[in-house]
Amino acid sequence: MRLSVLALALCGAATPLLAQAVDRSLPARPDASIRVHALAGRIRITGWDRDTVAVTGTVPPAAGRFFMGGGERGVKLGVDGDGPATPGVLLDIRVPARAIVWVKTATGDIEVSRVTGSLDLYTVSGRVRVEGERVRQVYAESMEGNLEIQAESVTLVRLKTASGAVVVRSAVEDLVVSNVSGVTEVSGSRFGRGRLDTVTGAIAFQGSLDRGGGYLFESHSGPVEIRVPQGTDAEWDVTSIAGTIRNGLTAQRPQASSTTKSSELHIVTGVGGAGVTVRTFRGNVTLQSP
Amino acid sequence: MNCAQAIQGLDAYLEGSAGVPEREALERHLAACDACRASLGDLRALRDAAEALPPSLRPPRDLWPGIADRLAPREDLRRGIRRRRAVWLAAAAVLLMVASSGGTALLLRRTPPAAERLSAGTLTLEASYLDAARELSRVLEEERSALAPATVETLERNLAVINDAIAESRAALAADPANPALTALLWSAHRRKVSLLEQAVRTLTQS
Repeated sequence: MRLSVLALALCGAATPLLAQAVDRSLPARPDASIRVHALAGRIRITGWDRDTVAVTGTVPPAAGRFFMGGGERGVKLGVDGDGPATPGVLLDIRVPARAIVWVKTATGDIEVSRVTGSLDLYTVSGRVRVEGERVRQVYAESMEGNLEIQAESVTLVRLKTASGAVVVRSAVEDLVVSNVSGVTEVSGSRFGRGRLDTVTGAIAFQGSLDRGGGYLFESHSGPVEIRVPQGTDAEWDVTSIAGTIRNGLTAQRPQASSTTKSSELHIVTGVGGAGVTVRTFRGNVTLQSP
Repeated sequence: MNCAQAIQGLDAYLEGSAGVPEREALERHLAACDACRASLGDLRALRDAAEALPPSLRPPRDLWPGIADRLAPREDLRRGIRRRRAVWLAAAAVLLMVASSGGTALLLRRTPPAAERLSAGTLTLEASYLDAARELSRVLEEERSALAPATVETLERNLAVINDAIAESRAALAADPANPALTALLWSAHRRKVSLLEQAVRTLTQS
């Protein structure tokens, strides 16, 4: 009797300390919508060629309860907890490669690989990393975490952070990056159009421009460095109020504006084509070929 | 694409600056969503009304995304997505109101010092950004306890960075009011501020 009471007491004491092991799956269409929500932890999403959403992982008791439901068109899953963000959650989620994936977390890190569909990724302080070959769309937002994309090509990219670093290593058809104080580094074989803006963070861009593309680089006090292949067909319109402009693309030097208090550089490289506008207040601008 | 994304994309769609995938996704959404289709109609009407304003009061084209950005999430937050149409109409009414001398005078009184050296058009448009930022700040202040201290610290640090940029651009624009680059930088900084506040509010509301 005493032993059984002791055993029950031990079980009762031990149960809350055990992490919940997750191993669940649901059928899903190849283009299903997958919604993932977890306050904290590590959320890994991997695309595969099966019409199934499969989840493995662990959820510490203090983090809340794992949930998963939905039908073939859409699956919702995550960790349902009302308390503060508790570390230790690990969700390894396999989704149909063409899925539309939405993830929201507070402090968690989001890692996505081999998904070719659309990604909407939100974290407050965690980081976001997307890897893959061809991805259709990436929307990612973080207040202070880093945002990183490494892919062969992405059709559409929208990235927003306050103080995180943004790193894009991919060809992108349509790119918009908005930063406040973090560093923005973008490089890839080709960019169809783009807008990169920051307040104090540095912008470093390297890649080929489309002849018909439009590109805007804007910074208040962060430096802007743009590297394009020699002979790029583009028309450049560079203005800085109090920063310096270094032109390594042609022999032309920037001049003081005749009508405003700013330095300006207007040049054509190659036979013209792409429209490139660079504006800074105090940020230095550097144009060069690699 | 959901309604919030659709609303944010309407301006680029109308301007013709949306990318092909964005446009296609938006059109698919519009075909199935009465509320967003109505918002598109309202936005068109708003633009027509703005085009009819005197040139001195007409906002630069790149200001519109900022106005759209600030209105949609605020509406989501307060009244739900189904009442978005009313906001666009209200925006048109506000725009027409500020076109009147009485409205302009009212807004001029609420702008910071040294404003007298900026043009009336700049001040009226700046007032709309200030209003949006003020309202979003109020929401954040009310919900401050729901944000992690580290997030509040990051937010405040970056808002301070943006406020410094706004102040610097503003002072320079007062001394060089015809400088289009300065004007663009000022609007960008205001837009960035509203966008950052919206981002913080979204962390409270999105689920």
